[in-house]
Amino acid sequence: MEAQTVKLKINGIDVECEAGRTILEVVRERNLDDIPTLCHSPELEPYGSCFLCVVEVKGRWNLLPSCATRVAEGMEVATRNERIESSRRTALELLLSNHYADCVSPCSEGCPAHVDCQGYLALAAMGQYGRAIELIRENNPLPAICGRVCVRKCELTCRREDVDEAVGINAVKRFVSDTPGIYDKAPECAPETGKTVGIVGSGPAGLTAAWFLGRLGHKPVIYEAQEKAGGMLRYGIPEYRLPDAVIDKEVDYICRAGAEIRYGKRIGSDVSIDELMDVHDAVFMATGAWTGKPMGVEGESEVEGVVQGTDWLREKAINPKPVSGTIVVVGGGNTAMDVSRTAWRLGAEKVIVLYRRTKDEMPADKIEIRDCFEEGIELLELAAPVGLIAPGGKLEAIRCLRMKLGEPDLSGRRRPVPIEDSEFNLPCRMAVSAIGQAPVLDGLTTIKGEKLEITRWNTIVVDKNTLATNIRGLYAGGDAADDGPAVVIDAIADGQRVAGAIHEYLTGEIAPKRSFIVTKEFWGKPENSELGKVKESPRHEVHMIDVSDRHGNFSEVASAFEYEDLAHECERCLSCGCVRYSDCDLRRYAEEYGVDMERFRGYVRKHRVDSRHPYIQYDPNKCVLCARCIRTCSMILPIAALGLVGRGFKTEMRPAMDDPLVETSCVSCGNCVDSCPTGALTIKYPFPGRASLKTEDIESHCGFCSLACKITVRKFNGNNRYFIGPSGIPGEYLCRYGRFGPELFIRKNRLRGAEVRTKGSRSVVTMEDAVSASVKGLKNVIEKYSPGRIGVFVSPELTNEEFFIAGKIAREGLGTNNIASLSVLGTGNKSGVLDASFGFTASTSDRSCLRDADLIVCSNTSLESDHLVLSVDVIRAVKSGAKLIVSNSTLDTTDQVLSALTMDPMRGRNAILWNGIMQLLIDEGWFNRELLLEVDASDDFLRDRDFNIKRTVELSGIDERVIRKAAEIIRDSNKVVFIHSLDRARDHAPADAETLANFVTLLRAKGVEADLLLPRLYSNSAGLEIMGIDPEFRPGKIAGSGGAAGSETHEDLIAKLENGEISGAILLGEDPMAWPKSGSWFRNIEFLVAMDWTESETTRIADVVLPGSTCLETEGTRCNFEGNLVKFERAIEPPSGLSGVDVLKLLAEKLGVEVPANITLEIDSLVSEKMRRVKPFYWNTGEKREFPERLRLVPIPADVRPVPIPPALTHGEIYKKEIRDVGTERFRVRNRQ
Amino acid sequence: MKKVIVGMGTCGMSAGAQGIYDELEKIQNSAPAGFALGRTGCINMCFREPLVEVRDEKSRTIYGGVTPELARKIVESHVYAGQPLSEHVAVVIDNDGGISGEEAGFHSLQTRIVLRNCGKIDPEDIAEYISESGYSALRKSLFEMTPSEIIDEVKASGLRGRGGAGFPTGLKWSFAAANKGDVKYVVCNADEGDPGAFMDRSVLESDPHSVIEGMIICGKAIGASQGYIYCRAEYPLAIRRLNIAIDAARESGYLGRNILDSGFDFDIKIKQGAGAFVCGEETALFASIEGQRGMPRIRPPFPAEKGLWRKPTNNNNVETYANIPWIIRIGASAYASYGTGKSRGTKVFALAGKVARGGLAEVPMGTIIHDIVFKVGGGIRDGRSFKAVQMGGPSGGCIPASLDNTPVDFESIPATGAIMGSGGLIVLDDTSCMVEMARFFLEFTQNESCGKCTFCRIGTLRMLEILKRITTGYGEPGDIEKLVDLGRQIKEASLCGLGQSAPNPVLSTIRFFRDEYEAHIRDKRCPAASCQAMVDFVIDPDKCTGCAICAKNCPVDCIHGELKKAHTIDISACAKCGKCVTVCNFDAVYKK
Repeated sequence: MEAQTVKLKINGIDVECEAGRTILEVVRERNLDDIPTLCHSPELEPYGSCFLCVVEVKGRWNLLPSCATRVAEGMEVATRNERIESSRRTALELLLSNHYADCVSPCSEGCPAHVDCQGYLALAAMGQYGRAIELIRENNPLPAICGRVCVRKCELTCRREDVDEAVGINAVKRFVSDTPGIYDKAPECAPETGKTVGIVGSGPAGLTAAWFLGRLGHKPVIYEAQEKAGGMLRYGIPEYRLPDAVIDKEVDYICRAGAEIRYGKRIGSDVSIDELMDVHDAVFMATGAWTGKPMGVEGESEVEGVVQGTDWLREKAINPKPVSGTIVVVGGGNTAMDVSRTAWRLGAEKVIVLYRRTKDEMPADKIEIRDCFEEGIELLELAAPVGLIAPGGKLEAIRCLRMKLGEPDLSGRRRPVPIEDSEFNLPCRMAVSAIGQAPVLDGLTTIKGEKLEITRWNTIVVDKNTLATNIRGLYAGGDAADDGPAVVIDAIADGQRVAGAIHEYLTGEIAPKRSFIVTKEFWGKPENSELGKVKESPRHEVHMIDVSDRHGNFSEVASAFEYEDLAHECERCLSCGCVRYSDCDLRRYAEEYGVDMERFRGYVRKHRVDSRHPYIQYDPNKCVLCARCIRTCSMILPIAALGLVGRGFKTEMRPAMDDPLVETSCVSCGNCVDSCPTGALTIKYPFPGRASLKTEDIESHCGFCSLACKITVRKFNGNNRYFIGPSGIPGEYLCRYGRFGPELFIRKNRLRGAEVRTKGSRSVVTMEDAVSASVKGLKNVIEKYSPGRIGVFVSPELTNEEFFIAGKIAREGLGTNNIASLSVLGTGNKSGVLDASFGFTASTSDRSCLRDADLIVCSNTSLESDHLVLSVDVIRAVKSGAKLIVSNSTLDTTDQVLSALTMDPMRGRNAILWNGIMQLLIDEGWFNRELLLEVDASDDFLRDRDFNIKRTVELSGIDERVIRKAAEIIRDSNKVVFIHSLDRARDHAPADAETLANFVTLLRAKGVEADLLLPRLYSNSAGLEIMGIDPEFRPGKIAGSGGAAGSETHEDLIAKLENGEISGAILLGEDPMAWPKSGSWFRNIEFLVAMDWTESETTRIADVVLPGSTCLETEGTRCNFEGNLVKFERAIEPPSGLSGVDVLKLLAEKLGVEVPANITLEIDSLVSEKMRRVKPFYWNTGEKREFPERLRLVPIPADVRPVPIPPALTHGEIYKKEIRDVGTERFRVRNRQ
Repeated sequence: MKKVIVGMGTCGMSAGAQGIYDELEKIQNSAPAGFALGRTGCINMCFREPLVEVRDEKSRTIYGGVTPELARKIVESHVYAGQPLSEHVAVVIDNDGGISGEEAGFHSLQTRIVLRNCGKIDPEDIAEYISESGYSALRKSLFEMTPSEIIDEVKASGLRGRGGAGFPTGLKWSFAAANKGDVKYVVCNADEGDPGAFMDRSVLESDPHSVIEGMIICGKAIGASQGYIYCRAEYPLAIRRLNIAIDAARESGYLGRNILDSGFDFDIKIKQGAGAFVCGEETALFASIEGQRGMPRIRPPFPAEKGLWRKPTNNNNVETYANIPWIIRIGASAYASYGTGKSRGTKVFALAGKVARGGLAEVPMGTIIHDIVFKVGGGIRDGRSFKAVQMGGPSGGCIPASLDNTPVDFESIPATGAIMGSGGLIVLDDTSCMVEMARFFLEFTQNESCGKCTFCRIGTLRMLEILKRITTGYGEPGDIEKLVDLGRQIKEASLCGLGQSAPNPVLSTIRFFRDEYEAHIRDKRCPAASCQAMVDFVIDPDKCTGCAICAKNCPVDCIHGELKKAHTIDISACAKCGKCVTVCNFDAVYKK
């Protein structure tokens, strides 16, 4: 049927498109507009809940969701106008009015310069100090200085405070900035713009502005009145808190970003401000506040011995001359502390801090206060100076008045109230006034005849956002502007802000606006109960030198963190910021549409974050109820572990029955996480210090089963800091193994190097020694017995490259043909089971055959637990009309929900059941005699058949009606796909694969399209035979041993194992020692080499242990179940530095075996040669499918009763089990214990 | 022989009808030959429940406010002695149509098509339904009419959906009929959820067969053979009687395979709803029947194309189906002779609120509001003044007294900003605060929102917060504009009728009673003296006798005064609980 087309107008543009499409699809496809949506996803049916995608359709009174509205003839659509945008904005505002969450961590919100504290803590935790300091410098170019003197507003807002104490954020910054060599890397700057900016003053504001301007390509020129740079940092903060060398280091680095400093240039006297304005394209005044405020007592300016705090500190910074006698410091701020401690160090006999309130009200930094009084400085609180006693103009005492605390003032501190008649004298030699500073603006207030606007506190009036003064091109910041003196980080924030504003002024480029963010504080201070369970872990403080070591010198008081302290503090970070910060759709749209949070401020729902699932975290606060997770879980997959509960505003997404997710039918595939447009569903990272950091994505393929799904390895720049995401291609999903399996690679203890073990002792050796020891040990066995007593056993989870070299090591290096995978031998599987039927043993098609199938038969395949991703294809087919028949001894949800017919035969009786169904069709004449003869002229097939209905019912336990129903469904089908798992032990039965192959052959002969898909449990089962990991085949699936000693068939090799005739072995990724039966095969072992990525039962007894690599740590190829060669890169570095392939190459070399330089090329040709002969079978080749004469019916013996199947013997299987257990009863029991 | 009939709808039952019936049964048992005892459904005069009718050859005498003792007296005096107790008679309906008695006015304007059997027949007895020409319309449809003739007849009647939206029923049927499909469904929406509405419940309880017959006819017309009645579980009596009726209809061959040997199959299942208001929305209702969470789905596809189980479906409400047998039996033109313009036939209203006579009233379309309130309803209770009517429940709006000459029909009512709705009609007097009323309805819709759409889920809460603010004296300038603005956007960007109409009570009260909102916000005053936070309780010194009962009952001890002298209330301490008003025996406490 030809697709109907319709003509319509979208935004005035004529559009012709297929009928039945939605407006959103058409608009997106043709790039007509970027319509926002949260609830829509192309893989899901239109839902229409977020109402962001609304558009206007002419003739309709309301706005329509474009995700669900189909195009129609003559429709006139507008996708953007004031009404639409207003509606979208309101929708976003409403959603955000109930979005109790932190987009970024409160620490970076608390920091005036918005340094990404959480981010650099995470980087520091990974040891990425270089990246950490770069991240800090994005906002703050003075990390080493701030690391010492910052007042740490970040720590004041830290949520950890509610658990125990704030995280020691600042100390981490200091640690990072003190790391040797951290300042070596040159700053990156934009190309020069040719613009110059004059900066007055080299304090923190000026330096910061210079840094950012320099990096933007402008030329900053700093004019500094003093001889050295730093301003108050150098002349106001004493050396013992901030060593000059630290300042020099930072200043130097800023100069490397292009800044030039001209010393000894006082603007207003040495250079006029007008001149500056002429020379530069813009000027930034950051002159600071240098005049101390007077105490306000009579005679203070005349009396000798009365000085200003800042003046005195500057003098001592230049010339630290000793002092003596009693010194009284008036004030309670940081300057007072600095003066006191400096005086104490310079030899004052007694230093008294005179403060009119009490210690609790002191504005100085708490740590400063603590350190100050620790040093023996005395405090005289509740007293204020009222006069000076200075006979002869020389200070002898201060006249003081006692105070008491009254009502709180505007600052919230209790006001000091004088007590009448309480005057007393405080004898002293010197009095230092340290009660505040103000800027000096002499010669700076008239610019080119224009008056600079000044506040009544003598600071410069500036625009809050741009720091622009009333004079064009002149900016001001730091202590000199607006509300006057503040702390270093405020000055840095000013420098950062002004650089953006000046850049905008110079270039016209709009500086990027500050991102839209939500913080919990918007709704008030969060309660500590919201945090849930966090284990208390006390804060580590910066180490201090002893008080006794401080007197008389200016050595830095606070020494740095040790590495352990750093790790501890990073670990304590609660990672409050949202991991989806950078790709949250809600936040992005909020920014785009200019959301006003205030508009709908109201009641907000507050929830605890649910972290009970081992891999998935659910923060209901961030949920926007788009139901994409619910729909993905119930429609793409048949799991339905999630749902909606409640009504009205209280509606929530919750796991079924509001149980913990892990106790529902959840299969832990994590596809819900991918579907979430916000940060409500996130995966729990398998490492601490997660943050919204830049990641590096590496494409790879999953190595947990033979589907080899595409995955993205998302790395946080650390070999043990990554997680797995889907390919990003719409319609591609992951299962629990692919997504969370690799976490085990991080969590488990890895073998990091080679070890040689003798009884009772083990020693780490070099790879070279380990390889030599291996060769020596194996040769000894050969000499003692023969090469036929050596075995090489390889896990089907390894790469073709490893197979290939292992084969060469066995056959060429050791001269043995005892090479196989124990996982194949153990299950009793034969090589090439379908060779007789098809001429090859592989799927007859790729998975695309499911698309058109009208009948899918699953036998011995648990789609849901083993191949969830394949089940997505099956579900799609079923939804478009295909029927599903399942025959497994246990049925999972998918089977029960979707199948037209489920059969649960007794274990191991699948072959009988399907032969019975076939027999029914033969007996009914549907598969008639002519047909049988056409396929197989001989009578072999029919001769011994004994699968009449009675016997089938009896042996399989399946009701006759059901068997007849199955036959009926098959009769009615035109395209049939059988899915059968060759590796799955549970329902494995002899001749079951052959039986289904016979079915395919007969159906094809009848003209019915039929295929057999053979998904494998192990990632490279399909590669084993082609690569010659089999006593019966050499690489390229060439039959025969090629002259090597040892067994020729599976039976031979099994017999050898059973008889204990293997005396020396190499075991690659296999763990037979984990089970008694297979363990006994190696009872006579004399020398064992084992390679694995972590300790196993087998490596425990091995003589030589080689470190193997995980599927992410080696590059190479695997054959997927569809017969395709899957190539992948090395995504992660193996801990030993060598991949399994590297190690085997060394071993081969030592044995004198030649390994081709490019193994992959060789493998490619082997596989394609093999598959070339198979491909004509394929539907998806586009070629006409012939009826290949190779198709043969294989006689099935009447007695295909099951034999006991041992468990799989790969090491990886043990770990898969661990992942599989999540969500099962076993997991729940284990977790409760 | 006279027949004594007790009105045993839910309203009668809750007023004590069962006790009366038991008493009458006792009397009858002692003297079986005296009279016949029967029961019926809702007699519609809820304001006089419990009701007992004495029926003889000539007339039906209906007594109101009956107690078991009075019932005994009625039997003794009226049934045995032939002396009606005229002081207890509510109304006498002569067989020739003449109506007399105290409450004759209630019946004056009524035309009973939907309620034709209500209060007249025993709903649990199919024979009584049949004796009132029941199922004759079905016979006619099965044997004398083709499906298209049925649809044409319904079209010609001008019947429009009585659930609220007023979509032409015949047209709707023709859509479902036109869609090809081997399986189709007929759904009856009996999820009556509007506060104050009980039309459907009464019909189901009093005349279930009329609905069943209507559905079967619909099935025949559109080619469906399965019907569902989605009835809320809060209507246990309705469900019980429906079940009895369905069983009886099946037994009598009106339901099931090969109905009346016509070759037509049709059966009905009852699905109980769990009381979610949104399940009255048809797509949510389908989801609920299918066992899913009751949430609306996107339309199109419309139900006529893909409805229940994604099959072509016709969905009407109870009242609509109840009209069908009458139309088929009497004729489309007879039906169309009632009403005005594009609104034909009658409409049942549940008259409630401050009206003197509350109950079910079926009047021809086009009757003006004033007549419904004053003629049928007998005016405002307690002699207060008429302020407005609220129509359409949480989706509807208010029509002020000044517009009381508005005729009730599908064109005139929406023009005022209210909607016809399913028939809830609440009368308001000068003590009703319009802001408070808007808040009440909005709170209802907020709680009943399914939570799917952003605007309905969160927007209505934000509106509600503003309304709460206003009614508690914290309204701010600009609040009204905010309500209007947000209300408009919620209407424009919601998926289903619940969200699209949720702001209506607010918007319509702002439209007609903006001054009341302004008084709350600007003057912190509730003109109706209804919002507790904004009224002051005052004692009228002229009326106060100084009995001190108020002072004794005041929980915060803010009433002071000497015994036998007028008391005063300390407004600053008053908790505004209103206890004093309730306990005062002299009406001395009033709100200001």
